Amino acid sequence: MEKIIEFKNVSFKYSEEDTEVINDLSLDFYAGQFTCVLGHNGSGKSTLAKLMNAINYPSSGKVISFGLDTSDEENEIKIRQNVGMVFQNPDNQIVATIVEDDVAFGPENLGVPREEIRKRVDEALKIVDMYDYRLHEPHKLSGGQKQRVAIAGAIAMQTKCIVLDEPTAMLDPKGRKEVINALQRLKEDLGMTIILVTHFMDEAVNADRVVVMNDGVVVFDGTPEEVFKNTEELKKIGLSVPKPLELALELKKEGYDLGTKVLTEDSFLEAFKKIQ
Amino acid sequence: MSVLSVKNLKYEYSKGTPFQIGALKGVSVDFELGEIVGVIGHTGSGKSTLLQHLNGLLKPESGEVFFQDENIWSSKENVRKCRFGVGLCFQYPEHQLFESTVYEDIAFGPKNMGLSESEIKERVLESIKFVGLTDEYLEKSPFDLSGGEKRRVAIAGVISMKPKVLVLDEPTAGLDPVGKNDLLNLIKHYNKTTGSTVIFVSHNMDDVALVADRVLVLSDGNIVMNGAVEEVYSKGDELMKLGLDVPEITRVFLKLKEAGYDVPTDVYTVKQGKEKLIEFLKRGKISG
Amino acid sequence: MVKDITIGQYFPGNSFLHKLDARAKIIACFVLIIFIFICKNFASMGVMLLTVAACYAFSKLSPKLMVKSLKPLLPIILLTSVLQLYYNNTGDVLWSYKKIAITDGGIYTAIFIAVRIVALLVISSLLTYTTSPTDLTDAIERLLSPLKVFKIDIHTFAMMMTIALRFIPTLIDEIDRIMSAQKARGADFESGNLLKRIKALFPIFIPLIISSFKRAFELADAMSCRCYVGGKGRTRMRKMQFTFRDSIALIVTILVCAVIIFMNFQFEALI
Repeated sequence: MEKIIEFKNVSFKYSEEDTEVINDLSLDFYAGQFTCVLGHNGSGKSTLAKLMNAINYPSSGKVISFGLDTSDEENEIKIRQNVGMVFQNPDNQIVATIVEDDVAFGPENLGVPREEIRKRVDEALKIVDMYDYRLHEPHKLSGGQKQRVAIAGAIAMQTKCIVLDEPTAMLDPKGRKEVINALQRLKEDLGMTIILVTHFMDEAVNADRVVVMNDGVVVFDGTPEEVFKNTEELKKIGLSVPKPLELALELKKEGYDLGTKVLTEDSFLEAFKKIQ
Repeated sequence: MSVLSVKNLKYEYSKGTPFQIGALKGVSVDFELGEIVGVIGHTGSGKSTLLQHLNGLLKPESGEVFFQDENIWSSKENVRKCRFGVGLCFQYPEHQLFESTVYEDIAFGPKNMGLSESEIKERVLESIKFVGLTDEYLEKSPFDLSGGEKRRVAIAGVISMKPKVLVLDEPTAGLDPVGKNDLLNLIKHYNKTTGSTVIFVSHNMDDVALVADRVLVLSDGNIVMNGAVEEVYSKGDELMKLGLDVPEITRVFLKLKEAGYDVPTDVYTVKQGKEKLIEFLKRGKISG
Repeated sequence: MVKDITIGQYFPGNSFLHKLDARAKIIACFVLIIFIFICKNFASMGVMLLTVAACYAFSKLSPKLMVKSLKPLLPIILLTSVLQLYYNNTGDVLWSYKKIAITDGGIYTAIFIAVRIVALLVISSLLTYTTSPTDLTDAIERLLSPLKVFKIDIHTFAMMMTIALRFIPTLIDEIDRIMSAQKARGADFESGNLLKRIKALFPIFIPLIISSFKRAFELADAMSCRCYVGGKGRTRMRKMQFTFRDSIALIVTILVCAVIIFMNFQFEALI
């Protein structure tokens, strides 16, 4: 698989006196994958996200994004064109007063010709299912809708990869679902690379890969099944595991083995059928 | 005896504009002294509107609110009494923290009540303990704290008024699992120690299941369910139809039931789930 | 009540007025506002009122909207015109009490002033009602672009305006929430002397300022993530096209102005 973002022995601290938020971390992200970065608040996961598109620069080590060194200022625009970003607070990333104008903001900055922008904006809004709202005012939208507009803003820039920094933390369950579904579509229909930073376990169950961060280092890295079966360790670093898996592991103690591929109610049912 | 009750409350949000969300269409409910009540409902169900009526922030368009058997709108004095008697803590601590130290911030409510300096101090010390922070925090600036700590200080700022009823709007939103658990335990502890009523509003039914004695479900401006946790959660399919996020474990059991297995559906914790499934599996062996 | 005031808001639509180029609308609006002050008598003001009413009709918006928006402003309008009654003592005295005299001249002026304020409010509301804030700032940016010659950074100014417009509703909402949170802790914004009231505002403004800074920093990050580096090399999705329709609108505006000047000379000036 093609490496698109590489962390090479990266350390990061906000100022000289501070302790390292990211500590000698080496990690690669691959094209076309849905990667979920999990960690409790303060584990360094948000900082990790901001290192990917040159909002933060490593204090030591290197981050190579699409073959470009993020520490080199000249690469900034090129990197950000490839790596789009969506933040936690939906209100603080929408610039324009009309939905479609906001989606057009990125392509406009890149100097894309007018007709082309129009086309991209319409397509992007359709992908996130917000086309009907293109003439609405952003402040009248729900949180989930605002986040989808922000995602469309990145799509319209034709980024190859979208990094989302806790995009659902301020949303209600309905909004969370909308956003996660939109991300799944991006990955499946457009083959986009998704890097989702979150502390919600259930958002990780459908990911291709889960990376767990704690104290600025990676503690687990693998498929959701591989990572989540480490129930005790995950709990120790302040994370929970999907409840169906927790239930399965409890049953295992009593001699009923449902395996570890039971992260959702559907997979639980499948496994349950087998032991019946 | 109910400490707080609402009778036939109606309220129409932003009347006359196309954005009529969060209306109340005739809500009646009683809150007993000492119980923990979970209020669930999705955005726009009217739950925020209901909350703001409980301490007189909003004046009902029709219907009444009674605090300790007195209509809170019968006099200015009563509104004030209710403001302090029903402590409402909103979701975002950033909206209320403003003083230069945590101490001053927690003291804001008691000061507004006109208490003496010594009484205020006593309450501040007591409140910070309730939310699980040490006295060292008192001299810090509230703006230097982490998200979870800010939330605790914000709650302390309401507890310090010693309300008979503590109302918390989405207290666990944005917290990670550990922060969430700690906070839920604090709420339980506070309720047990002080004997005050706690009304707890959340999207997260797993959280509500952990602390609440009773659950209210709001939908479209009406209370559609009101009962003990087990009772309400056993109607998982109905809750799902209302667009609510039922607990993960309940979803597992609903799925099993749907697939034809004869399992109960009033299950919402891992521990219960384990017991019920083992019971089911053993039964299966005997009969078949 | 405050939420009823719709001045400054935008109501999307597809009317003749909505379709006009924002630049044409700004110019016409500007000219008409000047001419509202040039109107000297009821005849010319009548022409102006007819024009304003016609414009409103062309917007296809419900008249109720304007009435509702004007209602909360009624006390201010009334106060201004009542003051005229008091200060203007021309013409025949109709009624007097001690030093206060009400004259027919006073009544005419009072009515005239009230009509003038209403006309002003309606015409300026119409501009924002029918023009999206984006079009408005775009048009201002383009109309002022000749100023670039004087090294004035029009693009930044327009961007600041867009962001301000974008965040006003968000901040109003936030003030509302902060006020509720502080009221819940017994804060009192309504009683006490001036000093006490000013002091009572701290619990609102400090959280508001802190959160605004946070928003500003986050927005700056979000904007640079989307490759914003200022106005250089930017393209625009929106087209601004001055069409036949716009020329007609401007010609009509000029005609109206001519008629108003004519009426001003034809009839006696009131003020």
